[in-house]
Amino acid sequence: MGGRPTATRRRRTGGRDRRAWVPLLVPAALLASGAAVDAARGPGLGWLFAAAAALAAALAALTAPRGRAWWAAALPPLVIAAVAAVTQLLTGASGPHTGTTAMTAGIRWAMDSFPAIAAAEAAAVLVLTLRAVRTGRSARPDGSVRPGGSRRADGSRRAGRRRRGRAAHA
Amino acid sequence: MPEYPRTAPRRTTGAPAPRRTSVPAPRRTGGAPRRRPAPRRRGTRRARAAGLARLAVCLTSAAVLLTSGVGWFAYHWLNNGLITSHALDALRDGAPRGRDGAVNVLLIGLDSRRDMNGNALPKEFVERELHAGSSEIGGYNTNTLILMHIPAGGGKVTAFSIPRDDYVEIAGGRGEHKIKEAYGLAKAEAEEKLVAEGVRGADLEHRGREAGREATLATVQKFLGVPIDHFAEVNLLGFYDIAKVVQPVQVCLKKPVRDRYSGADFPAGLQNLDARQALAFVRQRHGLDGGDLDRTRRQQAFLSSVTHKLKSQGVWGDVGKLQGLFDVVKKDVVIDDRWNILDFARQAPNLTGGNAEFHTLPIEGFATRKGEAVNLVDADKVRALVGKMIGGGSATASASPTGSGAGAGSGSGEASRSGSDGGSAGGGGGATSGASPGPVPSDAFQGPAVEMGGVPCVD
Repeated sequence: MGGRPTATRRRRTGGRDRRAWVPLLVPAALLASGAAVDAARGPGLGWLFAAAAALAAALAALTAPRGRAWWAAALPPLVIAAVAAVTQLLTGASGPHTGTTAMTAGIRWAMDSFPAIAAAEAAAVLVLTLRAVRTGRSARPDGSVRPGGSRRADGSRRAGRRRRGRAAHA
Repeated sequence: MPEYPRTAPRRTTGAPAPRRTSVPAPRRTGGAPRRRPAPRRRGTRRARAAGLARLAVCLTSAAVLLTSGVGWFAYHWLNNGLITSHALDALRDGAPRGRDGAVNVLLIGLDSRRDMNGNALPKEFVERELHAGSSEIGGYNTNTLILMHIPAGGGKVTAFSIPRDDYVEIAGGRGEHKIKEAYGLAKAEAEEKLVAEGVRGADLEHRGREAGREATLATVQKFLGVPIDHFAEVNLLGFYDIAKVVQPVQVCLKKPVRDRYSGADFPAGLQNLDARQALAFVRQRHGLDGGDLDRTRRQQAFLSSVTHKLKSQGVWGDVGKLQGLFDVVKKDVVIDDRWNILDFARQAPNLTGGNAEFHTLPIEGFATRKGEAVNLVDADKVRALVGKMIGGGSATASASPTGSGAGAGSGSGEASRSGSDGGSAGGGGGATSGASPGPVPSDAFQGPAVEMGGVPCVD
């Protein structure tokens, strides 16, 4: 009897963990699309890629679960740098056949990725700050959150606090 | 032996339990102390590992941000301040179609003794260092015109020197003139209109030069039947300044020369030149068997020597060393506004690596036109030859722009080229344009080719 609730909880937790990645798919697709379109427009990645990166980061910061919101600020440089490098390889902007020097390839990569990284970081930090300010305003002095005070995509945080609250009362 | 209690004594006072740094103390409600449950320890370890992973991700992310930022700023630091021109914009619509990914760059050497704002260079400097006479002579002739074809995928670079006295149709309906005069003619025309509009000073000079560049680029593009993707223009002062940065430059002469006009006074064999001597080396034409055409080969040899030196010193791969060169380039060289240095660096490893070959475009003979000695050219033949060498799409080559093919000219002093320079040989003369790349007889060009990648010996 005791095993069933545990298994159910594990299933529930696992399900929630899996679902937590779902909101990241849209920003990832947005970033990849931006890179593809920008690369098709001409050599190197430009403002379109930077705009797509900023939008993707903002979206990720908006939909990230509260406990994992730091990902939204920490991941953009890594993901964007990887996407820029892959684009550079796929479009032939770098490669052994062109005899490109490491310095040239490195600067090209930096030229492609830095504006997008900077825009994405700015967007992510802005959205996360706004979220924090909004949550701070709607929080009660004792630390609890008014119903509807936190805008959650999956509602996990609100449920967790309620559970803790009930446990404390019990 | 004293007995130590196995467990901590029960606290009887109301003082709080000592805090542990990593794990909060279990709440004690009395009774015997309890062992911490195992799942809790596992959770702590997991939390610590998660914290470390989070820290690692954040640090890596910050490193990526920093690295890309440094690269970005380095590029802009290098690139800022270049003098750019919009002259190519006017040509793009009517440009012949090029092959995918290949790049054609036109190098323009301007024989001007004035700075970028039109101010005359100091007389002493011009006479002593440049050995170029008064600021009034020379005008705005483009004494060096070299088209460099950089194939897609990094193949061998092919460069074509256009003899400056080639008698061709100047773009813009200006009639037939020496190709070197396109710049000055268009500049003078434009300045006349601009002065009437009240434009003066440096602005007049800048806008006049833009008109000159447009005319030169359009003329060369039409003459060769290939699109010009980029250009770089340097004047006497610019050449001198660049030579000063890269000096001493090693060159090789087949025989000793002495010329009071250019100031050239060199023994035969390998020798190192300073900036002043370098300028004399590339400007000398008096006292050379081939005259202007030998001078063209001098210029090719000098470019090869400089490239060889920069490569052997590792300048191309060193941002710090490049910076010194760029400081001069920013001051004295004009490039087109769409020239991305990174793209060029990517496209031209063979050029910077010395894998290039210089050819001098053929002429059909000499003649006198409008009182001046000119080179007669067969424009169709030139276009076909260039097309055959680099696969240029010369769809616009339906009519000869020169109207001055071999033997077509009137006037006195007309002579057909022959002998060692024999420029009338083969090479698909008069063939249809838009030829595919293929083997071209070595004698199709004016004299032997100059191979880049070392210090070629020239006359």
